[in-house]
Amino acid sequence: MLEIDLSTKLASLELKNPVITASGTCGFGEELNEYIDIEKLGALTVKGITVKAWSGNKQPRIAETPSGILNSIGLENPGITGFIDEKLPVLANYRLPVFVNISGHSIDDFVFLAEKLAPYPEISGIEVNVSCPNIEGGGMAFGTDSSLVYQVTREVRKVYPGIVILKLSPNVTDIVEMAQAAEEGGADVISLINTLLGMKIDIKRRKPELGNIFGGLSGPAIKPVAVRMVYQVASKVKIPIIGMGGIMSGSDAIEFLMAGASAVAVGTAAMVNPVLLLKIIDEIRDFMKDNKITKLSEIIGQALL
Amino acid sequence: MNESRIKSNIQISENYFLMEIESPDDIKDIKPGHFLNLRVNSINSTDPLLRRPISIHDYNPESGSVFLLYKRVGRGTEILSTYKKDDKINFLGPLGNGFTVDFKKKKILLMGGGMGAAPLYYLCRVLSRENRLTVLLGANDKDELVYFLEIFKNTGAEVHSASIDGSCGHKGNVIDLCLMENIYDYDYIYSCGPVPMLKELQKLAFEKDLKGEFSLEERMGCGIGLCLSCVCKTVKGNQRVCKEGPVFPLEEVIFE
Ligand SMILES: Cc1cc2nc3c(=O)[nH]c(=O)nc-3n(C[C@H](O)[C@H](O)[C@H](O)COP(=O)(O)OP(=O)(O)OC[C@H]3O[C@@H](n4cnc5c(N)ncnc54)[C@H](O)[C@@H]3O)c2cc1C
Ligand SMILES: Cc1cc2nc3c(=O)[nH]c(=O)nc-3n(C[C@H](O)[C@H](O)[C@H](O)COP(=O)(O)O)c2cc1C
Ligand code: FES
Repeated sequence: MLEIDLSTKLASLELKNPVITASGTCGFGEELNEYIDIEKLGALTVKGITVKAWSGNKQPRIAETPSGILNSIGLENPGITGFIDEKLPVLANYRLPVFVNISGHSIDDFVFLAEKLAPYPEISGIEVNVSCPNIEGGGMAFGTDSSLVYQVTREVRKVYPGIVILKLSPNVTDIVEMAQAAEEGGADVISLINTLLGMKIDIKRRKPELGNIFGGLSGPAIKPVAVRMVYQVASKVKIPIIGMGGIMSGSDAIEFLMAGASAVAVGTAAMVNPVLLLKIIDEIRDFMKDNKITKLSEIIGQALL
Repeated sequence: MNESRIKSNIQISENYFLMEIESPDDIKDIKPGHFLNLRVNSINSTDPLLRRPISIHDYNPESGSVFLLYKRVGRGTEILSTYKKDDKINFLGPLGNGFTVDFKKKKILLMGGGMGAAPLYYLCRVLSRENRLTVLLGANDKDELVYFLEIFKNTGAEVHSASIDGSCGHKGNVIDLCLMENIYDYDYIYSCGPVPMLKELQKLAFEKDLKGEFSLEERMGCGIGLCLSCVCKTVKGNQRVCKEGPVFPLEEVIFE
């Protein structure tokens, strides 16, 4: 029997396998655990948290597109205090690394959130979301200006002792520039990609389908863009990458790993069928078995020329 | 996640279909108001990507059958309508909270607008055993009403209908029927249907201080509480239609 080692490293953190839940698509773990044993995952990333509780955007918040979905949830969340008081104690019961996704309108917001989360060892790291297309006057603006990406990263790095992940926006001309800014600012890991800004029109009503007009596109439709961005970034930065965007199967995940991602995150697929999260792990293992690969690290970056 | 055999899938009017599926052995507790989130694509296909939520229309534990009644309105329900006997259907569920059903010797009003009548049927069957029921049905025309009229009458409930074009029952909407009824009389109201109807009914209920429950619809991403696509406004703050709902006390829902 071939011993298959699926473990992977994100800076100082070792994951038992490379499959992580993508922020915003897996609640706070509890709901997902009704369907799968979440402790089998590599790690869990929770919904984006903001300084104050947010009630999100108006309905409709989701629209289906060819092999994809547009969402404009608008970062509905209980706020940092609500998260720490109500959600974190539940999350702490599970034996798996947890990343907390944070969002803000200003550098001060991000620093405040990072400081609040710093005292909790049950959190392995924070994923700094400088890329949410669904909040007004902030969010994505940070992720489209490399000097802001650098500043946010540097300031958060100063106050947060755990792993700092920068989640970048694909809605930019040069993703490499943003990734390099994050690396220079002291990020440990880069997450790629958040959703692509898009829209859909209801031709019967002659109106946008989403209440918020624009939304973020995710799912298989964005996979080629995501793989390309992971590949470009992996060629130019040294820190590890969490690749995501449209992963539905083990082969999809392996594409990202070969493009240079050290781990992958799964969002839309988990919404459609939560069991896919575990199936993807099994399929990666099967691929390795079939190809006589014993260590995941032998796949990572294999497609880089 | 479940996969069930389809026992039948029949067209009952121009755009209405009734699907009977085998209820999975491990699922015993199917309550009125629950829904299933059905996959409508084939294995490994990513289009259409999302599942489609459809309410439990009826459940028969003896014959091991779950009934779904759906209207063909777009791509997903069009695909559903092509499923044949013995095909397998993949779904998550039963999902949601369901209606309150532990009433005895009460006078109960059920009000369904359009396809909103679908989930009320199983509820009607369960409640009619020990309560007195009146059912008000509203739709655009006769075609959308005949099936419902027949099945609801068979439960022994008193049934009235309204159609916008006047081809069946009262000409007008179901709120008119409600105004004609002595609504004070009822101990409890259940309703499902278009938001404008629910909004009007809520106004009436507030005036007369009546209690009851609404089953709501909202666009869904996951159907299992993960994504917050489906939230509605309530006096308790935002609630997920798929998880805390789809059934809410009528006085708690805040319509925009
Ligand atoms: C809890 C719940 C129970 C329901 N029960 C029934 C039922 O018993 N019978 C029935 O005929 N219909 C029911 N519906 C509505 C049904 O889900 C939609 O008609 C169906 O999803 C339309 O899919 P489509 O692909 O044919 O339409 P399209 O318009 O092509 O669908 C596009 C997208 O919009 C979503 N969508 C469209 N209309 C609705 C809607 N009214 N509500 C929610 N999502 C919608 C679809 O799911 C899909 O994601 C229910 C909806 C909910 C939320
Ligand atoms: C409903 C929904 C909510 C999301 N919420 C967040 C969020 O709060 N923070 C964040 O950084 N990304 C959020 N995302 C983006 C995902 O984490 C992920 O980057 C993106 O969906 C691409 O992966 P996928 O195609 O596997 O879904 C959300 C995506 C969806 C579909
Ligand atoms: S549809 Fe995802 S939370 Fe309700």
